[in-house]
Amino acid sequence: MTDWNEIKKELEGIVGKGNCLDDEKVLERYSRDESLCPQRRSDLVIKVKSNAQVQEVVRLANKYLLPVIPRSSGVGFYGNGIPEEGGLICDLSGMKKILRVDTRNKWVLIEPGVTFGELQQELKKHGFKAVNPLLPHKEKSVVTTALEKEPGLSPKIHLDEPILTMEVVLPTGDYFRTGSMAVPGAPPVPATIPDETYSDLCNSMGPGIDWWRLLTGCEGTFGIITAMNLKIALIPKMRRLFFLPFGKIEDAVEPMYRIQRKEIGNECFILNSHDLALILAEDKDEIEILRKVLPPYVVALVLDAGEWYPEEKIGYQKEALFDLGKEFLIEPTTTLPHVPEAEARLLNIIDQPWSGEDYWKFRYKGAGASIFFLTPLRRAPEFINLMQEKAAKYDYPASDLGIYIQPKQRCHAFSLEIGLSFNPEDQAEKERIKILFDDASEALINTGAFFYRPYGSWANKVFSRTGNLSPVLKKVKGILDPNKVMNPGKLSF
Amino acid sequence: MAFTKLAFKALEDVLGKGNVTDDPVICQSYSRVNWLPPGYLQRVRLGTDMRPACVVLPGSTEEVQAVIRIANRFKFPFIPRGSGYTFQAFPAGKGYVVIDPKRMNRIIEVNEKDMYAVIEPYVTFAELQTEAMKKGMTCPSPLAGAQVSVLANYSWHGAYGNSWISGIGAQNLLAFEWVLPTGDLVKSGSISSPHAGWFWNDGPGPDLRGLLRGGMFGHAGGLGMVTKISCRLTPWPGPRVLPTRGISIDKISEFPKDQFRWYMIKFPFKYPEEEEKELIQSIELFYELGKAEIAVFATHLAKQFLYTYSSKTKQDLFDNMKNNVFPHGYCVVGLQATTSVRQLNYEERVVKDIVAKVGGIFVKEDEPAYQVWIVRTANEWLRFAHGIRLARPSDSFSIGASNVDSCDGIVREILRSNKTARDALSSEKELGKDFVQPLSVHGGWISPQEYGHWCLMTTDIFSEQSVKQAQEAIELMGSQLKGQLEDKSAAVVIHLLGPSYDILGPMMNNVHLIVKKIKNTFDPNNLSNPPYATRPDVLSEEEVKKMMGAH
Amino acid sequence: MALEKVEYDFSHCQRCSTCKWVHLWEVKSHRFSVSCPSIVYGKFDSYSAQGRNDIAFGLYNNELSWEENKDTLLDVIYKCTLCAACDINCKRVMDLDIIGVLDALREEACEKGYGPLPAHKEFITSIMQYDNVWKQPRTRRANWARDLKVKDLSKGKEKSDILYYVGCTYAYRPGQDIIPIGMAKIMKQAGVDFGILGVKEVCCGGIADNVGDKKSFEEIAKKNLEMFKEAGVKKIVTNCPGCFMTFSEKYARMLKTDTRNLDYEVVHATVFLNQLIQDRKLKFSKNLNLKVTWHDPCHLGRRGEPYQHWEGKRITWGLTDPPRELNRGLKGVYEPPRNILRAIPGVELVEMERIKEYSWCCGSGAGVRSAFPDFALATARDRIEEASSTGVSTLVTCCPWCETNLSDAVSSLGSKMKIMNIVELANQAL
Repeated sequence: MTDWNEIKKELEGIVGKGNCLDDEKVLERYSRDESLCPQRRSDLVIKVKSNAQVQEVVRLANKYLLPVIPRSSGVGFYGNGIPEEGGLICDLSGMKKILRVDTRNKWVLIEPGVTFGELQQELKKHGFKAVNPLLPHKEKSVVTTALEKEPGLSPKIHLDEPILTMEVVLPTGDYFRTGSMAVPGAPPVPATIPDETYSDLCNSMGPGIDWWRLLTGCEGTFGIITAMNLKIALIPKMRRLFFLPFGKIEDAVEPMYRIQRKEIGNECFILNSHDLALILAEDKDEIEILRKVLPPYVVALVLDAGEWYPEEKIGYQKEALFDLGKEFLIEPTTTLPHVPEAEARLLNIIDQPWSGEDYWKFRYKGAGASIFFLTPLRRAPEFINLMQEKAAKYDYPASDLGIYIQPKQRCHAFSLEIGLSFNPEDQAEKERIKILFDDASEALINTGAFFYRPYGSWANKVFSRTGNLSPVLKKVKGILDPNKVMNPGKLSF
Repeated sequence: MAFTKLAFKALEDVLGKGNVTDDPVICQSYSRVNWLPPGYLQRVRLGTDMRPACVVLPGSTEEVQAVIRIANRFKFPFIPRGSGYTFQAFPAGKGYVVIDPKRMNRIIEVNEKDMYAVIEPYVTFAELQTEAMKKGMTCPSPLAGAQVSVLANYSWHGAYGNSWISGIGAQNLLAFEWVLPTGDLVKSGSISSPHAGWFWNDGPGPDLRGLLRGGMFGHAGGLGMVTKISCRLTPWPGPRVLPTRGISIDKISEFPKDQFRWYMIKFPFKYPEEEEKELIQSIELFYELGKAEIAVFATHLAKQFLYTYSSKTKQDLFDNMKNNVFPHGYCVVGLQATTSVRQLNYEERVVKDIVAKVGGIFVKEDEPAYQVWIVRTANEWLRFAHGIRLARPSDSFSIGASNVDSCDGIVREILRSNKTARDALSSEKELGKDFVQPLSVHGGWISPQEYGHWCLMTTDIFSEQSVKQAQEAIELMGSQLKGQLEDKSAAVVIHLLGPSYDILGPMMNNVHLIVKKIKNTFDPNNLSNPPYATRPDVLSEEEVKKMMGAH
Repeated sequence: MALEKVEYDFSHCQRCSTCKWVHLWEVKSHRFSVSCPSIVYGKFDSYSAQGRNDIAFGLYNNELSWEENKDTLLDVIYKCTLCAACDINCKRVMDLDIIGVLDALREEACEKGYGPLPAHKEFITSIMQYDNVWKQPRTRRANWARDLKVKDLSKGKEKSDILYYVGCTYAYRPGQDIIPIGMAKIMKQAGVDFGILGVKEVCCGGIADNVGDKKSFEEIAKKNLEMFKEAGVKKIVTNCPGCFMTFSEKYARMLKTDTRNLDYEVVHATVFLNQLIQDRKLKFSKNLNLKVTWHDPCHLGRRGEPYQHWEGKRITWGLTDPPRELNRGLKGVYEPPRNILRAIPGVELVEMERIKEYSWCCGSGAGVRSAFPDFALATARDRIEEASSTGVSTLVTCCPWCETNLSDAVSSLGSKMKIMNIVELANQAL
């Protein structure tokens, strides 16, 4: 049995004393996140600043068979950064360099600790923006978001897979690169690769197999990413935002299919009155008002245009949208009840992380949990009904359910996210929410909701039903992580 | 490893008489592929050892599983394939069993709402697109020709006329059923979850397409056989049936101008002296189109593609060359009224402005190049009916060089690789004697992907089907790789398949060792199309050097 | 060795599989996307042009041997109607003489003494003994003309520039004599001066050539040519596409000349009738009120092009010296029968999916019906299903073998589809 102090000393030698923390308060903070996952403490929190440090930490972990749990965000929502078996939390959130912006090939190379706020601010100087999810937390890492496959606001097919190349530390501690970053003879610093090789870091595929696909959705179990370049988009010259209000979710289905089929507009999502209220309300009092006056469901659609005849581009999109509206007897509007400036307000915030003190998903009661999965849009009403039934079973008001539907790759799939709110101080309520969460998740999975990001308790529910998929993934895991150090206990590992 | 009578009997019991054969006459028709020099030389070297010991025709996923389990029991190698177009789908030695999916040709579903189709391995692009078009949708069409298997193409490579919006094969692949080299079945994507259906590709957890696909290519059947997929369809506002006029080689296809517009663009440079400028300005065109996010087709075609694809006959091709119908390469841009006619008109306005901005000139409708290309051939880009016309000049051809990187990056690769080829090929010198300008070794096919976020390119070389010229072509491939390594070109990353894993893997963080472990784990008996994706053993440095010499 | 002359062609197959599918722009459904009946029935690639190219390569290079592999070789080589769908498809993309390879394989089989198949030998023996394929007495060959007062050019007393050549099947098969009767009636009504060869008419010999028995074919052909010369024939009109193609292409090839250089012109009945309509010598007055579809016989359509003789060699780049014009289905007979249908009042033509140069074969050609009746029937059934999918009640064509085979398929399927010859339909509208 190795002396723990010896291990700690070795780690301090790698990252410096101040970056190797076992203070109770620190361990406690890192033992939980915003999810309903149980609290679990690590043994140490290691703050790393470079790929070289990450390699050494992981090698050490292999030497002593210690779990390593990578975390790049200052906030977590899904439990993937909570250790299952103790070990070392490898905190990369301090790696905040924006290494390079390639405006010609439309990508940005960043370190894992860069947040959306930091990135958007930098990209704005170059006339670009990142494709972000809906109002991410200000501490949310861009790299983590991409690896977690969190849906972006843009349903454009080419922006749904934003990852290009990556610098990786494999679970063995070995250095690795994906895509055309792996070009032989490339210099050690990824940012200088385009200058010192004939590689512009644009090819995401390979080497050999499609690494980047295996590394997404793995919850850090297949390796740690220390640099990534992702696609970015031009900031439009002109934008309009229209709302289509619906009384029932069923009524929104066909119009939304048609919008996506005809590729009208860019950013697009559906929110119910509850979620929209949480976003638009200036203060807590307004939340309740808006929950009552806003339409039950609203499709928000951004029409945008770049440098070429922007008025005309907006014009044809608007014409197509209004023609659709006529067909479905809906008038697209730029205002919402009680929020006449809704268009401007939303346009102002959708490219940025949430700036308020309380994260919008928690504004209602102080805390929240989300059930999310992919579905064809035509089944969304079915799943929402099921959720409402489950809510009723546990005396959770249906009106307190948040519904957010995000198209991915136009018509192909829709992310349906159902928010539950609860008072974090009320343990009894939290317990009820946990039971509702579990019961509803189980029912949704059994009915055909595709939980493509099987966090926490979903992992067992999902993988017990997927036949040979879990054994295959376990085999891959076994190849990459023979000592089982990388975030053990996650997924089905 | 030998294929035995007992193995044959076991296969026959599972598949039924008439769906299994070891008759050498029948097997002979699975023994030859000429159009890539390595395949051609492999046949010369192996002779009838390249004839499979047996060919099987399974009719379902369950039958494929049974075949592969029998393979593991009797230890014979098997080759999963689609239409069997590339040489990796042929035996690398004696005793292989070819799995011909001809009986697995169902289009199971064409989902109009969620825009996907579910298909089996022997469904071709033409069939899928035909059925999709009836419902206002389409799918890409590869330059190999719309007669190839969709499933195999998406699992293997896949570069398309409309890659400008569609990307490559892996990006069009959704959920899939995969029979592993042990015979176990794994489902990936939404189909893995009960009652979720076929609509999505990714998860749960890691995206298993990562194992299926690679740097440019898949595992060439080296990790089992995919037996069913769902695949993406995109909007098609055009006629529900592809319009055609005329007979045979005079057939043309024109789309309604209120839904589609084609443009052919050239640049005012001296050719071939200023070819580099032409390529650079072509790329500028793509960068600008990409920023504007318009069009559904955008590509640059070197003369080799224009002459071959547009040729009615071989003589026609050579006559056109003599008459210099295509004096240089051209860019082709296609617009589609996905949203509305007004959108189409808007995009046309923008295309015109962008072309002016980059110094391009629209080819007029009465110019021979327009008549030959746009009128006769443009709709190849929707449905490639004449893929193998690339072989027309010499009745065989080879890939000269490929790259996948930025648009700028592939221009560099075109110029570098063509210069290498010009000096190397005796066939090129020969062809250069008789004609105004040589056919190959100038320009390439530039296929920008996803609105120019990245780009793919190939050049082709036209060599006659002979041992001498095939060896020359392979030597050239080696020179190209050498040049790419010296340049530290992104092109090296895409080469990993078969023997090149051992040569190049050590240069890329020893990726070959990981992939060999994957191969050994999932194919413990090394039966799934050896030596793909890679041979299971780790070679010493001396062995690698020897192999490099042999290749 | 027969294969020697097509060595370049089978050696340069690139295995693209274009030969197996309808012109990819013309695919209109998944159901009817295939163009090669042989591979549909045989399943393995060997039953396609690509497969046969590989087999030819194998035979030529001693990778396969007749002694060891004769049964399968004969099965693969002859389980093909020589419909040339593969040939036309391949020639869109390459310049290989695929039909030449298929032909050479049969010639090779006969040269080596293994072919043709017993069922084929019966036909050839019948021709040699009875001048027809049906082992019927010569004296009955012109029974159809008994009541028609038609010139007999074989006796030397009557002359006419136009020979109406009937063919064995229309002459002898029960029920099919209504075609020559109808045709003769139409021509008489139109004032056409024509004659027949009566009981002296001899089988065209096409079947012998089709199955690779070049020797027998030559013997039969020479006999016919002698008769044509004696009778002073300048133009041959025939209803049978098989005979049409034989006189036009096969005889020219045998004589090593172009079709246009033959001593006679040969015209299919549909072309002739279409011309009569254009010249206003043939008019239809009855309204038939019928929805029909048209089946393009292979020997009239894609194989109905005039022959261009070529002797030379392949030079660099696969070019030929001298330059060679390959038939690519361009000049087949597609529109004349359609014009006839359009000219008949009340007839609505609804096209099938696979038509013209990419038409689906009926399944009976090149000795298949006699040697492989199941294959022939399966192919014809597919065609009837395709015809039924158009919603029409009647399939019209103009080939005795197509009519027979498709009729068998109708019975086998229990379908209500009516099979009619275009002459029959035309007569109804007179």
